Amino acid sequence: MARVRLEHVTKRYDDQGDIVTAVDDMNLDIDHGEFICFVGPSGCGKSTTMETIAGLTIPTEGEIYIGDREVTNLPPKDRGIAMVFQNIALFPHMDVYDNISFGLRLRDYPQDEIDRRVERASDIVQLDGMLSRMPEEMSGGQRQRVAIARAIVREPDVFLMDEPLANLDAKLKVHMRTELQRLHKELDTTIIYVTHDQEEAMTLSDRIAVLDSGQLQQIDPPLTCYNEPDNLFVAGFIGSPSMNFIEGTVTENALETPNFDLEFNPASVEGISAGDKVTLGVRPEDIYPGELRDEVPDPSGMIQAKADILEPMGDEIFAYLLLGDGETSMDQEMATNDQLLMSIDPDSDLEEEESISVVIDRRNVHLFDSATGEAIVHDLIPYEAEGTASGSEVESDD
Amino acid sequence: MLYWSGMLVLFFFWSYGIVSFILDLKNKIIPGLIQYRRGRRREKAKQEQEEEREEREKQLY
Repeated sequence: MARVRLEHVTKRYDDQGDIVTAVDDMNLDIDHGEFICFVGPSGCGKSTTMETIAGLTIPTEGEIYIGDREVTNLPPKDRGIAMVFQNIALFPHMDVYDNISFGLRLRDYPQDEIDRRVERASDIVQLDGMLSRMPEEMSGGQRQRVAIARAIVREPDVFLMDEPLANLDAKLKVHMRTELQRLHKELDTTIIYVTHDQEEAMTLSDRIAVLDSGQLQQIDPPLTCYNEPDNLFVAGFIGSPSMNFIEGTVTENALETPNFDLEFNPASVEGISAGDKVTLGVRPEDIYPGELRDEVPDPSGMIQAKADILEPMGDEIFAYLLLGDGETSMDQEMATNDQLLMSIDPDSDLEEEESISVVIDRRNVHLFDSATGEAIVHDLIPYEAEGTASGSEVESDD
Repeated sequence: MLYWSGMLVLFFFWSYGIVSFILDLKNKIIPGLIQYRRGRRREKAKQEQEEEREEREKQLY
């Protein structure tokens, strides 16, 4: 059983006298057979965390366990892991067979065992008939499959993959994504995958570990991260396009924002009271044109806005709306309060500079503490179901 | 008079050369050598680190 545990793992670097903390007190418990994605922006510590598991970097503090063994200071070869790198790193002077069998030959496996494993691995990644080819004669996707086969033949307890699809074109990336899912089903091995692409993380993993500034922000199944983000960072990072954030103040019976009020009963939400500063989070797909108000499960009142920019994407249009008087502030922080991004039907006849009324689905409204960024509530409906804020309306300031 | 003036000019340039050489030695030649050796050491350490990293990566193939 290859359960992977990180206990209080910290990695600090000395950058010409400055101490940089790449990984800060990381605690993780990954079950056998799980597909975990480390996701976060550049420099968030995801690759360093993986390198500490791989043994390429020794943590400054903390322990790493693979299975029941503590492996913190063991060399990579003694950890029972195989890794697929972003740069693929095939030996250019070796053919596919030699590249795949390199690790086994290094460990002096008998020839018939090497043949058996190479045959099985090439079968899994569909490289039959290509074993005598040189890397230069193969496409990017085929080369990446060779690198994956090289990891498979080792029959490791844990697979580590460091952005293996980053150098592939968009079409090939989607194809390889399904191949990796098939591979995971077939091998039933723990896979730890690093990516900065949240779409890749959402589609591949059983659980996503969202990292920022070396700290674990949330580790949950993809839809939990999407629907119930623990904090503002996760809410903004997961989902494309990003969630809208609007600063507001809680009053006796509503959330007051610079351009509209959202009525609810603050007393029914644990952790907030009148006067608190909160951030309203709403995803573009939870904002609807006013004419669809009757079809929205729990609509807010009408919010007046003006279409600023329209981005046709084919299956939908992203509409950037300006709230209030239709002017946006040059101040970045203020500007986010004046803007709303919504996703509309591609057949919509909305045009730029046109006025529009929109409603928000209050069942999918998120409230965050403005000071700490921690989530307070992800759905106002349960409180209404208790009969505390039934039928509340949003009153536009306009 | 001519003899003393000639000696003064010659002595001036002779002493100027010696002082200039000592200052060059102190400010340019010795620091240059130290920097060169430090650079070589840094390069070597970097190369060793890269080789060690490569060796560790190969253990993961």
